[in-house]
Amino acid sequence: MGMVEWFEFQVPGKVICAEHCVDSVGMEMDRIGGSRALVVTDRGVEEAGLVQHVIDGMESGSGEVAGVFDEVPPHSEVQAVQACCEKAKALDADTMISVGGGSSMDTAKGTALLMVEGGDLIDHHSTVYVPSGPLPPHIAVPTTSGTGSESTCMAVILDKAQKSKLIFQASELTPTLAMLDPVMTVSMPPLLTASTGMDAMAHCIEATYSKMHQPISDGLGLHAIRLIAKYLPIATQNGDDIEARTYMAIAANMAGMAFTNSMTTIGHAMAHSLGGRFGVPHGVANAILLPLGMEFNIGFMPEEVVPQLRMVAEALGLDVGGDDDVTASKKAVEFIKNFTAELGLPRKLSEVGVPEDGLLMAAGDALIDDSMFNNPGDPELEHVIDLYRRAY
Amino acid sequence: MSLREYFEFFVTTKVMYGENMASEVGAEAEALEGTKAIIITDRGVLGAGLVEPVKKSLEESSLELVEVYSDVPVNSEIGICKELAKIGKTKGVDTLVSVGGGSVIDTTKGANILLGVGGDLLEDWQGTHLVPEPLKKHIAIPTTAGTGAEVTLAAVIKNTPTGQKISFNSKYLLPDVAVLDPLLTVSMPPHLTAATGIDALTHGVESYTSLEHSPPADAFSYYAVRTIFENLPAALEDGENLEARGYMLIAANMTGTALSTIMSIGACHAMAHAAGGLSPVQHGLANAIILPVVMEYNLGYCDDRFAGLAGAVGVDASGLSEAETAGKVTDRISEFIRGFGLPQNLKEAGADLSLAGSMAEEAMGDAQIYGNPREADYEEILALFKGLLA
Repeated sequence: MGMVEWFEFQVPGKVICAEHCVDSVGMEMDRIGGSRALVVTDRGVEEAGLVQHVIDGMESGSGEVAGVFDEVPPHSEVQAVQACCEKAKALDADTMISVGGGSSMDTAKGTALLMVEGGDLIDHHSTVYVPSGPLPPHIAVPTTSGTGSESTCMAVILDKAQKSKLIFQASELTPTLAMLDPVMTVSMPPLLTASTGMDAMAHCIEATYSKMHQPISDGLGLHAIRLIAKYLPIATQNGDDIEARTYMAIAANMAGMAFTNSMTTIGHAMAHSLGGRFGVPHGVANAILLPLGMEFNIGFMPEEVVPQLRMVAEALGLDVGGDDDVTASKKAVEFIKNFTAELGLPRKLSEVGVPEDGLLMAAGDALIDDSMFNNPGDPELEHVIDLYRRAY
Repeated sequence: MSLREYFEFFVTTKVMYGENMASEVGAEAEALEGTKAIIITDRGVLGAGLVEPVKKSLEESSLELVEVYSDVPVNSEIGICKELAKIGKTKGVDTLVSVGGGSVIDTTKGANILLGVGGDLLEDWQGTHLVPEPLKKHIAIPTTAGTGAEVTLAAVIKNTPTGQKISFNSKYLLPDVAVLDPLLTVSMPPHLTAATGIDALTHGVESYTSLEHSPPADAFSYYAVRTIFENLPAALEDGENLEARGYMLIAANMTGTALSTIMSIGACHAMAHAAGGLSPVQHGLANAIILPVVMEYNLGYCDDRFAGLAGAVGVDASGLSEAETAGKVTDRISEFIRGFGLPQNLKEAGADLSLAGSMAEEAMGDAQIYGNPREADYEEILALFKGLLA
């Protein structure tokens, strides 16, 4: 193991995991000092009846749901955050309860930020955001497994005008409490289960070899990899399997804890720009780009990357005892490609609505994405373009 | 894999790792908005010069360093907590900086309870989740690898008159910052390196097999166990091997986090607490002596969990049944521990056979026993102690 020089590790929020834990959301809100909640969600989640679980769960405490903001778009957007903040203020809400995928949770994070800072969200954009005051408490209830956003210090918010994804980062942005209730994820259809599961897998794997990789994140990420490798196929095939859903929920959460400390790399940078420019769902883009990003790095920065990818191969359950690190890493790449295909996910960007003449622009965006800066070495535009072409 | 109906993960301590990270303590204390700090340590740590960089850093910060207290004994003691709290109160301390092993860090936690909420440690606060509110700021700097106390929400403190080890558990006991500086562990002599390293190993193994294990705790335990297997021999061979020292410090820290996620880890810890309370046996050494015996006692009751550690301890499970793998794993761990030349029974470590009954009684009354995969009874634990004291 190559030792990193220095690192920090922190998970500032609390995580609870239990079937039906959402029934206690009211009690949990009392505990964190909240009384009037704004539920932040999207129409799909609401129509699936999941918001009602949360509203019902408020009865376990003394507070109330002041209102519901259900206009979260598929990718959290600046305008949605502004609108959500206005609603929060109008309702005199003191607590955010996000119910949904990464977009809902990040919208709630952005709203919390804006409630303290006021003005325009874009003006406060920073990866070293320092709050002017305490942020309102935030309970995050993920309905996908998932982005891990319920335990991360980042909010990724789309600036639609610029078609770029802005990353806001501060430990204070971490939700106060993450409530992992497998019942909230059961209605995810197979492809969503698979794609959000692969986002979690990408978080883990990229975190093991990012510039900021470190042993504690590795411990979390590698164990999450074991769980995802075992339970994602089950959860995809049988959405009602509560045990598989629970393991996926905690695995995606652990993946979040890992990458919030160790960051992600080229795969995520490229996925962000495809999401910003062409609306490609985050999990879908990552599923396609993950093995290619791994493959690229094996060639680009082998000494940095292959010892870590060997551990990933072992966590995936591959027999690499007699192999050197490069061979072990390549086995991991092959496994991920097959794993993704067997889940029924698209393997090529051409299948997901990316125009071929848009790749150059996407590459330019990806190059300045924060995740790119955490890729070992310093990939250049030509590398990124080449990778997009391979993914096409 | 068995999954508990309900589990939590709530370890908010900021962990900072790096060579010379001790020199960042001043900056961290400032970030915590501290104004008056006290360093709490013991004579050995002070004498080894390990407090110097921390002292310097605090003196150069905006905080006032009111005292360096170095009278903490080998096993943390209630009387010392009271003394410290008195000093802290008189001098208006709002930031506690512990530099040392588990005793020093736990003593600091005990003092923090009194400084923060007053009262009497034994009467008011022993047990779980009784401390009602945040305490003073605490930056914990381990010099052993270790107890993981820098990230646990527990403090185990001896009540000297009765010899009992009292437990205090509360999220408010979690240090705000844990500073892991491998340079501070280099001067640990081999026997201490081994004893504290095996303490960490025991935490990892017991957390993994505990009835209260959970996936996040498993992530920390598994990786820690593997890291200890890979680095403890090297750290023993060459105390100046900073990579090995670094990994050991991180592994011990990770087992501390696992402990914070699990209330009750198992019989080994219950027995070690009892042995440490009633005799001069140091905690890590007690664990090293007791773990092999408890693992054997637990075989057949958590084989899936033992088997799950195969990869971490270098056991090839191909072609073996779960029970066979479990047997190989426990053998491997026992062999690893026994390979360090430490005493292998409590008698050798200075405890007397006459204590067997009291130790068994103490162990059965220790909350740690509930997490043991095999439900323990007094007679069985007594027999185990007798075997170790004969």
